[in-house]
Amino acid sequence: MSSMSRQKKTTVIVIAVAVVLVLAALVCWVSFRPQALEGVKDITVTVTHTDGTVVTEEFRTDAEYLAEALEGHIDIEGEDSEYGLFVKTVDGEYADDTEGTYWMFNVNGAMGEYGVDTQPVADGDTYDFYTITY
Amino acid sequence: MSLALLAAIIIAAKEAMSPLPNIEPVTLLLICAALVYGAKAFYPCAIFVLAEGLLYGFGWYFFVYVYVWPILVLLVLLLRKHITSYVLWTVVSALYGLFFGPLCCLQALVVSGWSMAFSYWISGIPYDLIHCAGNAVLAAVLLKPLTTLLQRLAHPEQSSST
Repeated sequence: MSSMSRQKKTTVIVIAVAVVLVLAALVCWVSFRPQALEGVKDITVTVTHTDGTVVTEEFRTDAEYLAEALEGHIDIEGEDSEYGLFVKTVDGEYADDTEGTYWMFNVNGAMGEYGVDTQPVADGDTYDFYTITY
Repeated sequence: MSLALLAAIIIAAKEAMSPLPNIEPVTLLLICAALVYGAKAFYPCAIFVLAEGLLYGFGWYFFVYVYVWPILVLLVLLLRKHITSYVLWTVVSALYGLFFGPLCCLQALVVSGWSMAFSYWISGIPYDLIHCAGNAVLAAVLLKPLTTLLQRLAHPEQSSST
Protein backbone atom coordinates (compact mmCIF):
# COMPACT_ATOMS: atom_id res chain seq x y z
CA MET A 1 0.00 0.00 0.00
CA SER A 2 1.42 3.44 -0.90
CA SER A 3 2.09 5.91 1.89
CA MET A 4 -0.47 8.28 0.34
CA SER A 5 -3.32 5.77 0.49
CA ARG A 6 -2.24 4.71 4.00
CA GLN A 7 -2.41 8.34 5.10
CA LYS A 8 -5.88 8.69 3.55
CA LYS A 9 -7.02 5.55 5.33
CA THR A 10 -5.66 6.87 8.66
CA THR A 11 -7.41 10.20 8.11
CA VAL A 12 -10.75 8.50 7.38
CA ILE A 13 -10.42 6.27 10.47
CA VAL A 14 -9.52 9.21 12.74
CA ILE A 15 -12.43 11.29 11.43
CA ALA A 16 -14.79 8.31 11.93
CA VAL A 17 -13.56 7.90 15.54
CA ALA A 18 -14.08 11.63 16.13
CA VAL A 19 -17.65 11.43 14.79
CA VAL A 20 -18.36 8.42 17.03
CA LEU A 21 -17.03 10.32 20.07
CA VAL A 22 -19.25 13.32 19.25
CA LEU A 23 -22.30 11.05 18.91
CA ALA A 24 -21.39 9.26 22.16
CA ALA A 25 -21.25 12.61 23.98
CA LEU A 26 -24.66 13.50 22.53
CA VAL A 27 -26.15 10.16 23.64
CA CYS A 28 -24.70 10.61 27.16
CA TRP A 29 -26.23 14.08 27.40
CA VAL A 30 -29.67 12.90 26.24
CA SER A 31 -29.54 9.89 28.60
CA PHE A 32 -28.18 11.48 31.77
CA ARG A 33 -29.17 15.17 31.71
CA PRO A 34 -31.45 16.24 34.58
CA GLN A 35 -35.08 15.65 33.66
CA ALA A 36 -37.56 18.38 34.47
CA LEU A 37 -40.84 17.60 36.26
CA GLU A 38 -44.08 19.29 35.23
CA GLY A 39 -46.83 20.40 37.63
CA VAL A 40 -47.17 22.36 40.83
CA LYS A 41 -44.64 21.71 43.62
CA ASP A 42 -44.29 22.94 47.19
CA ILE A 43 -40.66 23.68 48.01
CA THR A 44 -38.62 25.20 50.82
CA VAL A 45 -35.57 27.37 50.20
CA THR A 46 -33.17 28.38 52.96
CA VAL A 47 -30.30 30.84 52.62
CA THR A 48 -27.65 30.81 55.34
CA HIS A 49 -25.59 33.99 55.15
CA THR A 50 -21.99 34.15 56.31
CA ASP A 51 -23.00 36.31 59.31
CA GLY A 52 -25.28 33.49 60.46
CA THR A 53 -28.55 35.09 59.31
CA VAL A 54 -30.95 32.48 57.95
CA VAL A 55 -33.68 33.34 55.47
CA THR A 56 -36.34 30.70 54.78
CA GLU A 57 -39.03 30.80 52.08
CA GLU A 58 -41.71 28.17 51.60
CA PHE A 59 -43.69 28.55 48.40
CA ARG A 60 -45.57 26.85 45.60
CA THR A 61 -44.16 26.86 42.07
CA ASP A 62 -44.78 25.30 38.69
CA ALA A 63 -41.22 26.06 37.54
CA GLU A 64 -39.26 23.07 36.27
CA TYR A 65 -35.81 24.26 37.35
CA LEU A 66 -34.61 25.89 40.55
CA ALA A 67 -33.36 29.19 39.10
CA GLU A 68 -36.78 29.84 37.59
CA ALA A 69 -38.53 28.77 40.81
CA LEU A 70 -36.51 31.27 42.86
CA GLU A 71 -37.70 34.25 40.80
CA GLY A 72 -39.75 36.57 42.98
CA HIS A 73 -38.68 34.76 46.17
CA ILE A 74 -34.88 34.70 46.52
CA ASP A 75 -32.69 36.98 44.39
CA ILE A 76 -29.80 35.22 42.68
CA GLU A 77 -27.27 36.76 40.30
CA GLY A 78 -24.28 35.36 38.48
CA GLU A 79 -22.52 34.83 35.19
CA ASP A 80 -23.17 32.35 32.41
CA SER A 81 -20.51 29.68 32.29
CA GLU A 82 -19.84 26.36 30.61
CA TYR A 83 -21.84 24.72 33.40
CA GLY A 84 -24.77 27.10 33.30
CA LEU A 85 -25.37 30.02 35.63
CA PHE A 86 -22.36 30.52 37.94
CA VAL A 87 -24.11 32.00 40.99
CA LYS A 88 -22.13 34.77 42.69
CA THR A 89 -24.82 36.61 44.67
CA VAL A 90 -27.66 35.09 46.70
CA ASP A 91 -30.15 37.23 48.61
CA GLY A 92 -27.82 40.24 48.24
CA GLU A 93 -24.65 38.54 49.53
CA TYR A 94 -21.74 38.33 47.09
CA ALA A 95 -19.31 35.39 47.24
CA ASP A 96 -15.92 36.35 45.82
CA ASP A 97 -14.63 33.33 43.91
CA THR A 98 -11.25 35.04 43.43
CA GLU A 99 -10.90 34.70 47.21
CA GLY A 100 -11.98 31.06 47.01
CA THR A 101 -15.52 31.70 48.31
CA TYR A 102 -18.48 30.15 46.49
CA TRP A 103 -22.22 29.78 46.89
CA MET A 104 -23.25 26.13 47.17
CA PHE A 105 -26.61 24.48 47.68
CA ASN A 106 -27.85 21.22 49.14
CA VAL A 107 -30.88 19.38 47.82
CA ASN A 108 -32.76 17.58 50.60
CA GLY A 109 -29.62 17.68 52.72
CA ALA A 110 -27.15 16.39 50.12
CA MET A 111 -24.84 18.55 48.01
CA GLY A 112 -26.52 19.53 44.72
CA GLU A 113 -24.99 17.91 41.67
CA TYR A 114 -26.37 20.35 39.10
CA GLY A 115 -26.23 24.06 38.50
CA VAL A 116 -29.04 26.20 39.83
CA ASP A 117 -30.52 26.52 36.33
CA THR A 118 -30.35 22.77 35.59
CA GLN A 119 -31.49 21.51 39.01
CA PRO A 120 -34.96 19.97 38.50
CA VAL A 121 -37.56 20.99 41.07
CA ALA A 122 -39.59 18.22 42.74
CA ASP A 123 -42.53 18.45 45.11
CA GLY A 124 -41.44 18.60 48.75
CA ASP A 125 -37.82 19.44 47.95
CA THR A 126 -35.72 21.51 50.34
CA TYR A 127 -32.89 23.65 48.97
CA ASP A 128 -30.28 25.09 51.33
CA PHE A 129 -27.92 27.78 50.03
CA TYR A 130 -24.70 28.49 51.91
CA THR A 131 -21.21 29.83 51.23
CA ILE A 132 -18.05 27.79 51.35
CA THR A 133 -14.43 28.95 51.28
CA TYR A 134 -11.68 26.69 49.99
CA MET B 1 8.21 36.84 16.18
CA SER B 2 8.93 36.90 19.89
CA LEU B 3 7.13 34.44 22.11
CA ALA B 4 5.97 37.32 24.34
CA LEU B 5 4.26 38.94 21.35
CA LEU B 6 2.66 35.62 20.46
CA ALA B 7 1.35 35.39 24.05
CA ALA B 8 -0.08 38.91 23.71
CA ILE B 9 -1.82 37.89 20.46
CA ILE B 10 -3.33 34.82 22.15
CA ILE B 11 -4.65 36.94 25.05
CA ALA B 12 -6.01 39.66 22.73
CA ALA B 13 -7.62 37.14 20.35
CA LYS B 14 -9.23 35.28 23.24
CA GLU B 15 -10.66 38.52 24.66
CA ALA B 16 -11.88 39.62 21.22
CA MET B 17 -13.80 36.36 20.76
CA SER B 18 -15.02 36.07 24.35
CA PRO B 19 -18.61 37.18 23.53
CA LEU B 20 -18.98 34.02 21.43
CA PRO B 21 -20.05 31.07 23.60
CA ASN B 22 -17.17 28.59 23.82
CA ILE B 23 -15.70 29.58 20.47
CA GLU B 24 -12.11 30.50 21.17
CA PRO B 25 -8.85 30.94 19.24
CA VAL B 26 -6.54 29.71 22.03
CA THR B 27 -6.54 26.06 20.95
CA LEU B 28 -5.73 27.04 17.36
CA LEU B 29 -2.95 29.45 18.32
CA LEU B 30 -1.35 27.09 20.85
CA ILE B 31 -1.34 24.28 18.27
CA CYS B 32 0.34 26.66 15.77
CA ALA B 33 2.85 27.73 18.45
CA ALA B 34 3.71 24.15 19.41
CA LEU B 35 4.08 23.11 15.75
CA VAL B 36 6.44 26.00 15.00
CA TYR B 37 8.29 26.59 18.29
CA GLY B 38 8.17 23.12 19.84
CA ALA B 39 8.59 23.04 23.62
CA LYS B 40 9.08 26.84 23.68
CA ALA B 41 5.29 27.03 23.16
CA PHE B 42 4.98 26.44 26.91
CA TYR B 43 6.18 30.06 27.40
CA PRO B 44 3.26 31.83 25.64
CA CYS B 45 0.98 29.20 27.20
CA ALA B 46 2.19 30.10 30.70
CA ILE B 47 1.94 33.85 30.02
CA PHE B 48 -1.62 33.39 28.73
CA VAL B 49 -2.67 31.40 31.82
CA LEU B 50 -1.10 33.97 34.15
CA ALA B 51 -2.82 36.82 32.27
CA GLU B 52 -6.17 35.03 32.63
CA GLY B 53 -5.58 34.88 36.37
CA LEU B 54 -4.75 38.59 36.49
CA LEU B 55 -7.79 39.49 34.36
CA TYR B 56 -10.40 37.25 35.97
CA GLY B 57 -8.93 36.40 39.35
CA PHE B 58 -7.15 33.34 40.66
CA GLY B 59 -10.33 31.38 41.25
CA TRP B 60 -11.63 27.97 40.22
CA TYR B 61 -11.06 28.47 36.51
CA PHE B 62 -7.46 29.61 36.92
CA PHE B 63 -6.46 26.29 38.48
CA VAL B 64 -8.18 24.45 35.63
CA TYR B 65 -6.27 26.55 33.09
CA VAL B 66 -2.98 25.75 34.87
CA TYR B 67 -3.18 22.16 33.61
CA VAL B 68 -5.66 22.21 30.74
CA TRP B 69 -3.67 24.40 28.32
CA PRO B 70 -0.21 22.89 28.96
CA ILE B 71 -1.81 19.47 28.29
CA LEU B 72 -2.72 20.72 24.79
CA VAL B 73 0.85 21.89 24.13
CA LEU B 74 2.20 18.58 25.43
CA LEU B 75 -0.25 16.65 23.24
CA VAL B 76 0.87 18.54 20.12
CA LEU B 77 4.54 17.95 20.99
CA LEU B 78 3.88 14.22 21.35
CA LEU B 79 1.87 13.97 18.12
CA ARG B 80 3.78 16.28 15.80
CA LYS B 81 6.25 13.61 14.72
CA HIS B 82 3.35 11.37 13.69
CA ILE B 83 0.86 13.86 12.23
CA THR B 84 1.79 15.74 9.08
CA SER B 85 -1.70 16.40 7.73
CA TYR B 86 -3.56 19.61 8.58
CA VAL B 87 -6.81 17.64 8.32
CA LEU B 88 -5.68 15.45 11.22
CA TRP B 89 -4.60 18.51 13.23
CA THR B 90 -8.10 19.89 12.63
CA VAL B 91 -9.51 16.67 14.13
CA VAL B 92 -7.11 16.99 17.09
CA SER B 93 -8.29 20.56 17.64
CA ALA B 94 -11.96 19.51 17.43
CA LEU B 95 -11.48 16.60 19.84
CA TYR B 96 -9.63 18.83 22.27
CA GLY B 97 -12.75 21.06 22.31
CA LEU B 98 -14.92 18.00 22.95
CA PHE B 99 -12.68 16.84 25.81
CA PHE B 100 -12.22 20.31 27.31
CA GLY B 101 -15.22 19.76 29.61
CA PRO B 102 -14.03 16.37 30.93
CA LEU B 103 -10.57 17.88 31.50
CA CYS B 104 -12.12 20.74 33.49
CA CYS B 105 -14.09 18.17 35.51
CA LEU B 106 -10.85 16.66 36.83
CA GLN B 107 -10.77 19.42 39.41
CA ALA B 108 -14.36 18.63 40.46
CA LEU B 109 -13.31 14.98 40.66
CA VAL B 110 -10.51 15.82 43.09
CA VAL B 111 -12.55 18.30 45.15
CA SER B 112 -16.03 16.72 45.17
CA GLY B 113 -15.78 13.16 43.86
CA TRP B 114 -17.05 11.10 40.90
CA SER B 115 -20.72 11.91 41.18
CA MET B 116 -20.20 15.69 41.05
CA ALA B 117 -17.60 15.44 38.28
CA PHE B 118 -19.97 13.31 36.19
CA SER B 119 -22.83 15.80 36.67
CA TYR B 120 -20.51 18.68 35.72
CA TRP B 121 -19.49 16.84 32.58
CA ILE B 122 -23.08 16.04 31.59
CA SER B 123 -24.17 19.67 32.19
CA GLY B 124 -21.33 20.93 30.00
CA ILE B 125 -21.79 18.57 27.02
CA PRO B 126 -23.78 21.06 24.87
CA TYR B 127 -20.97 23.59 25.42
CA ASP B 128 -18.33 20.93 24.66
CA LEU B 129 -20.08 20.21 21.35
CA ILE B 130 -20.07 23.92 20.47
CA HIS B 131 -16.39 24.07 21.50
CA CYS B 132 -15.68 21.04 19.29
CA ALA B 133 -17.46 22.56 16.26
CA GLY B 134 -15.83 25.98 16.78
CA ASN B 135 -12.36 24.48 17.05
CA ALA B 136 -12.96 22.36 13.94
CA VAL B 137 -14.05 25.32 11.82
CA LEU B 138 -11.28 27.63 13.05
CA ALA B 139 -8.59 24.98 12.52
CA ALA B 140 -9.95 23.95 9.10
CA VAL B 141 -9.84 27.55 7.89
CA LEU B 142 -6.87 29.06 9.73
CA LEU B 143 -4.46 26.39 10.94
CA LYS B 144 -2.51 25.99 7.70
CA PRO B 145 -2.16 29.72 6.80
CA LEU B 146 -1.38 30.72 10.40
CA THR B 147 1.21 27.97 10.87
CA THR B 148 2.85 28.90 7.56
CA LEU B 149 2.88 32.59 8.53
CA LEU B 150 4.26 31.86 11.99
CA GLN B 151 6.93 29.63 10.45
CA ARG B 152 8.02 32.52 8.21
CA LEU B 153 8.08 34.98 11.10
CA ALA B 154 9.90 32.58 13.41
CA HIS B 155 12.46 31.47 10.83
CA PRO B 156 12.77 34.29 8.23
CA GLU B 157 16.12 32.92 7.00
CA GLN B 158 14.42 29.70 5.83
CA SER B 159 11.57 31.43 4.00
CA SER B 160 13.87 33.98 2.26
CA SER B 161 15.99 31.19 0.80
CA THR B 162 13.02 29.49 -0.86
